Amino acid sequence: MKSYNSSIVTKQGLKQLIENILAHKYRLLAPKKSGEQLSFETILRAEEVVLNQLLRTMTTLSPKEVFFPRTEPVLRYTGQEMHDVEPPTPETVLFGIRPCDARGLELLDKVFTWDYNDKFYLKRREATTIVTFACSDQASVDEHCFCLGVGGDPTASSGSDLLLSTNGDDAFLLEVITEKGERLLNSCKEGVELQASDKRAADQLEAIKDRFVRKQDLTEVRHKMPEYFDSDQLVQETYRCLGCGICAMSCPTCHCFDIVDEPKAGTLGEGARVKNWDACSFALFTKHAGGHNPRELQCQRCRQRYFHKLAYYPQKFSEESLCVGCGRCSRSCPVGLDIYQAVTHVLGKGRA
Amino acid sequence: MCTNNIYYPYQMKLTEIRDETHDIRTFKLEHVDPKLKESFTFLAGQFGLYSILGEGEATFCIASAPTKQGYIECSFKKVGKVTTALRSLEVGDLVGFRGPYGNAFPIEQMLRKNILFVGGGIGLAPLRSLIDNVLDRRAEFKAVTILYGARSTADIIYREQLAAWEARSDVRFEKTVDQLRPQDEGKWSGHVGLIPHILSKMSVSAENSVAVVCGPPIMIKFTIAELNRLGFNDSSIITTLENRMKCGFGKCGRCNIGGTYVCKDGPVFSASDLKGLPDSDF
Repeated sequence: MKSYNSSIVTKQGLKQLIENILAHKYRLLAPKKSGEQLSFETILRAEEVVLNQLLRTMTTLSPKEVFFPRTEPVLRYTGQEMHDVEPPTPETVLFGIRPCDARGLELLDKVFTWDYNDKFYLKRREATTIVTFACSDQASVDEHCFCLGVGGDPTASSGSDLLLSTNGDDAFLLEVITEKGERLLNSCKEGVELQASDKRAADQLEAIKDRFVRKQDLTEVRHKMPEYFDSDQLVQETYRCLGCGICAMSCPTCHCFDIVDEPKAGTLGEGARVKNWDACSFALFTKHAGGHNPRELQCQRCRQRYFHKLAYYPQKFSEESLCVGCGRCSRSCPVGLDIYQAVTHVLGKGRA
Repeated sequence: MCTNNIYYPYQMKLTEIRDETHDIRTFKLEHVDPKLKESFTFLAGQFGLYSILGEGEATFCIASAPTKQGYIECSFKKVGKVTTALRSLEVGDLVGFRGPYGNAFPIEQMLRKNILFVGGGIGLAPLRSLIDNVLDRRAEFKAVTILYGARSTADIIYREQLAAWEARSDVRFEKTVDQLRPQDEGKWSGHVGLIPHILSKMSVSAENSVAVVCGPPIMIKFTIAELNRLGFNDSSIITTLENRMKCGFGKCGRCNIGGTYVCKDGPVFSASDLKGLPDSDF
């Protein structure tokens, strides 16, 4: 185990670090305004990274698409001839994700390495260094956040290579979490003033937890599944689901996909077999060729998503919930569906 | 060939086509790579993803027995884009194949027992792999009974095979159709009626027996109930599911039921496994 290692860096120093990352030809991805939304974009100039903005606003979509793109070829073909595909893997720094997102990546790792290794996901993971921003600003946490209810923590370092948090008005605490993080820092620290520190985000940010209005523990749902499975309460909570799939698209851990062949327009017999994001909330997702659909009703599909997160994944892979409590699904839902609210109601714990 | 891309299929050559019914066709496929043809193995009950470049992939079980080496067979009904495209292929054409995936029938646990096979419609395909496997090792099992049912005489598959099973003195073979069409009058030697009903009249013993059931979900449901009534307990009733699948190896999420993935934890389950699943219709 690496000994614990952190330092204080000024705002200016952090800006320099970002400039060095760019100067070293890393591909830098960070939250950036794109139209109305904050999303992970390729950064070309250091000033495009607006620290206050990324500290205070959660991106609309999660960073999962850096590793698991919404569409990607898994093989190409020309007539009867197949060609293998390698995912593009430039050395990448993913900057400014939240601890819930970082944890989500660790949960996805289990899916994409379960017996069969998905090289498309794994090679991108290997080529990427994760610089996480702990939820350390008063505005980092909003009324949708509930990581504390699913075993998460707004200051956790799990899944991160480097962890940043605010340290007073004009400085940041920079913690080295992994050797990968240390390598990045060592290669990009010229001109960055680092003042050794013995602090940790987790120790000095206890107060941020008071910002959470959603603190109920959702994990107990998995222990009493049969009791909750046919709950009328759950039907009432989910019957208005439209099946649009925005919850799955914005989720850092939803990983269902489809595999289809897409012929290339304007060619004869050229194309690619592609992996596309899919969602269990879509009506055709489970429909059999014979016409039978095991999840005929929208509320059953909604239940599948909730329970896959909170009961099935923990049963299959680890004791952890697949939901990380980022709140993106409820922020985006056009009909105000809310996994936290639905599950707390089912658990009989009332409105948050 | 590609070793680290789990989505990359083997190429197989279509060497024989048999029409089972007006819409069900069987393909015999052989590996193009001679080394693979030699080394490829699978177990009865496993499945694969069959594909045509430009059209896509579809999931079917392997319908031939693992004891028949050098080729695999699959049977499919024309229902969608990929199966329609597969139907247009001719002998000599290439088919992509990924697999074998999934668990297998617990044949070792069936040794020295009476085996009752109950197949409905195209659900006979996965059973056929096991039935042939069992018949190729006939001495290791006690009584073998096969009940096969189809919607009508026009929907019966594997006719030659059925006749061969029927002709064997060491196999009890019963067949039924849901309804007899007028043109079948006087020509049908089997039963008429739904599988659970015929089963109830067959006086099969549950003693030291295993029942293996496959067919449409509704048939499986009522057959399990009938088997229970005959004294089979849930752990001695084996079935195989074919949920919609895309990847075949536990990533795409499609076949997830409760904490179970049909593609990895199945497709073969006991009735007691099924009854423990939250979304189960059984």
